[in-house]
Amino acid sequence: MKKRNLKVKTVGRSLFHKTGTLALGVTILSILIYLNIFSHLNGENLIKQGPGGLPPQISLFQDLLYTPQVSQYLIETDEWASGWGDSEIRSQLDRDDILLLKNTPLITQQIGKTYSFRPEIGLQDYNEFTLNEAPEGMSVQDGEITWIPDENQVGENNIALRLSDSDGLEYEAVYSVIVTEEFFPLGTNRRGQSLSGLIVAGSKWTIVPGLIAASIAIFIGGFMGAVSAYHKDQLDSVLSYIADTTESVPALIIVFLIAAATQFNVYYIMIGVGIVLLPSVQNIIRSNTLQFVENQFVESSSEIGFKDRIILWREIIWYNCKSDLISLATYCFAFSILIEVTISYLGLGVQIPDISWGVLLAEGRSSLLREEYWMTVFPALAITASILGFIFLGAGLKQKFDPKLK
Amino acid sequence: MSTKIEIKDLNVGFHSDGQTKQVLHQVSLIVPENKKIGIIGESGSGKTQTVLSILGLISGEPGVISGKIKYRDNFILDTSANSKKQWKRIYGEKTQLLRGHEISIIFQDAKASLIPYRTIEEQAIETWKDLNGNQSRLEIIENARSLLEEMNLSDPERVLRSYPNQLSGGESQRAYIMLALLGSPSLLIADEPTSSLDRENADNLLNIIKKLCSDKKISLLLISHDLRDVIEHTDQIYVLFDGHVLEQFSPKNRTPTHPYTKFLMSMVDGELIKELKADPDSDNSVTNLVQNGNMNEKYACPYYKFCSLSRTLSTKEQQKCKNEKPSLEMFSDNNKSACWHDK
Amino acid sequence: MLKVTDLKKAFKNKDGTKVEILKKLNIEIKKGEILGIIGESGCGKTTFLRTVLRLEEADSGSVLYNGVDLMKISKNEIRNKIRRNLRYVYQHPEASLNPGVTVGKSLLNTCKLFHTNELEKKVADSLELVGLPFEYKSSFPHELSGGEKRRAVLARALITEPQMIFADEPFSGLDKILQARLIQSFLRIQKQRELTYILVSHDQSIINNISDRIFRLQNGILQQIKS
Repeated sequence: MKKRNLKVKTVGRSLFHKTGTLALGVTILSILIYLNIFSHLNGENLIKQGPGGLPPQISLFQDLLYTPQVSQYLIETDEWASGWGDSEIRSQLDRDDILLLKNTPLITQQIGKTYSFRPEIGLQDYNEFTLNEAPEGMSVQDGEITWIPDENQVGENNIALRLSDSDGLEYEAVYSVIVTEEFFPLGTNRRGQSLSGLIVAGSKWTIVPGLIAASIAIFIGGFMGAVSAYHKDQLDSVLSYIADTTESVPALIIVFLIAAATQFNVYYIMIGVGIVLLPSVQNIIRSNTLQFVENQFVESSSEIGFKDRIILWREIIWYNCKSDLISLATYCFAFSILIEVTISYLGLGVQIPDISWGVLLAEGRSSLLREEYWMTVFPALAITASILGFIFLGAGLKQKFDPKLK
Repeated sequence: MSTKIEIKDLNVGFHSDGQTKQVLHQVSLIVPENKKIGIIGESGSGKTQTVLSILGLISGEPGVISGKIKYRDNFILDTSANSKKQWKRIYGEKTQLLRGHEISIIFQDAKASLIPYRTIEEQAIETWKDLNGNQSRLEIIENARSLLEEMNLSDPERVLRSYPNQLSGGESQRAYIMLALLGSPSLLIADEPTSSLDRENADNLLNIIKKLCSDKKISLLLISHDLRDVIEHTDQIYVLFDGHVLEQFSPKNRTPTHPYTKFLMSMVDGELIKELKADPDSDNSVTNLVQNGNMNEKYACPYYKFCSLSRTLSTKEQQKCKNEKPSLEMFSDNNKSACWHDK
Repeated sequence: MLKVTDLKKAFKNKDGTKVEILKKLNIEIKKGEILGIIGESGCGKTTFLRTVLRLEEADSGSVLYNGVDLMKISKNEIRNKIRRNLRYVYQHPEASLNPGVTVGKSLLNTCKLFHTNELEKKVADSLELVGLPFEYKSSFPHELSGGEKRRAVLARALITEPQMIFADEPFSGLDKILQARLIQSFLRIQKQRELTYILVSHDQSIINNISDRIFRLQNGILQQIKS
């Protein structure tokens, strides 16, 4: 029994390692590339405009992320005011005293789509509820409210449900539904821009900046590391010294300096990120190369007759260090995304009206106080998924290309 | 005839990758009192496992599968008696008592086996303290000194006061042997002590060991992969191949007959190489080293795949090799060989 | 075929003293022979092989091969004059195979240096010559056993179609059956390709019976022993 379980576990684990991480990474990367191209082609039209502060229109998300305002009133007839106009006295009820509606209604709907709500009344022995105030076309049937909003009803629509309990007391629950022309699956930000469009637009900062930083770090850093390990003379000490110095400066300081000097040009900042990442790449490649240079097969390669250049670049780097370079490259991408988000959040990177996920996080910060979670949650998820995607991609590719793990 | 160690039908195996690989198959071996026995085998033959089984140091599951081991007429291992739990417990307890006290072992590379940060005399004291806390420091040092003297060391005092890295190769070997013999064991196991030595030094070392064992009436079990070690220095040789004992013979009065042993001898004295040089392309039955049968199949005789004798046989005779496992058959004067066709 | 004259090589110790490993070493190697070299470990057998092949630089002396002094040629000429024709088989095959590349690719790359056509066929031939199954072409070194690694290294030495092979302990560390097979392969290949072997080994029974002439390296010079 024990034997078999062990075998299944190890086989399962290795299968996942081999295919799972790589598949995940490739999927996320393809989604990012697709979004990049999509946003490039569509430009500004991407972002639909709507009412500000709209919660996500996908009901699942709205349920999770938003608690709508439902006002509750106790209705008493004013005996003294009959005939003089409004004979109703409304006193607002606290949610702690009584809960008229146990479930929460959706508060947005698109025109042409059916709005339905089956209220769960929080009173014992109640009569059927009626609609005291409702938009045109709304009807109640068997305790369910249905309505198909049309284009004339775009905007705020009040709905008041009138209930009475067995004691004869009358209550009213009031809320409003916002009708929109467009569909906003993830809601809108304060300025009414569709969050889904914003996220797609922001994706353009995930690939190109990473490419700049990774190219600098990998090609220059890798070259420096390989050369200094192979030739191991004065050059090595000089290059190592440079690497140590660069490494000792905190990354964000370099980034802030470049941000200030170039008036927040993210592409120049990414060159800085590349320089920041360079020492790590240099050191890793250098130690890997050193490992192999000490190895006798390097001398046996010269014995065969291979030229020095070929031995370094083909035999050592390409055949043996490929996997490390690939995983370092994907790490550079992930790191660049993180830096971009950080500086944009701080206002030192992408500037409004240009969009990036960091900017969205910054804007969404104040909305958190109003419980408008979606403006922060969705960009944050996108950022996490992208970074993880690159990390998985790196892990998966490293497995695939490392000859010793085969 | 009293025996020191008697191993009977020992089977040892290990689980790996969901399968059980058996490393010893029905191995039987006797080390008589005051005799020197050699085990010859290459890597993978099971010789280390045999030694470990005597010491009770086999690690891994399941380890010992079945078999009996007696030390001086007392069973230290008997898988046929009692439950598995019981015989395992007894095996562990008894071997622990014997290790270092009655049975001592030396491995190859003396210098690497000595503790580098203690002088030889400190190591002697530590070793003895482990075994028997009774003797005084002076007594232990005197024992050590006289042992070193018996091994023809001219200034044992200097050696005792030195650290291992200050000693020459020969001196550290003698120090190592001295430490093994301090506890006056009745059986010394030497596991490939000559592996890193050239022929001359190997012979010297084995002569020292032989002399000490004869003088002190210690039985010797010598393991090696080099036939020359055991032929010169032992009374009886067991030939191990792939966990099976293929031949058991005494070098002084019988030339071996098993094809494997004959092959080993022809390599040692260079006869085979001479033949190969004379005619490398020959398909002669002795020099043809191409494999029989299928690499991946298992045949009854463990040596069949490599056996040059079988190529001279008829198909019917070869069938016997393939299907029926040859057992060690008795000859006169205590020699046995596990081959159907070498008689 | 190869004439070594007054080869000298000294090493500097850590404390600055000089140790002369090779002192005025002289030997003439004949075409098609198997030359055995024995001697104590550390006496300079490996150094001798390596200085002749210019893997290390000797202090002085000459090595005449086909009328050319190998000690005097430039680094560029080494490739064509030495590397192709005088091949070295290292003592430890694990250390001389690139762990990141398959056996087949390694052979192919080696072959490409000196040949231009029929490369795949040459690779297949060299595998067969040493007795490695064709499938091993796509195996990495760590997937091979000790004996198989040695054969791979031997295949790599043979693929450039050399005239001489300098082998440093090619048979040590193998079990006897494998040793016998490898010796047989060695001898067969020599017969087939008319190679000259220089074998360094400490195994007396092999050297004594396989060599045409035997030399002992002692005190920095080579002395012939009766074979």
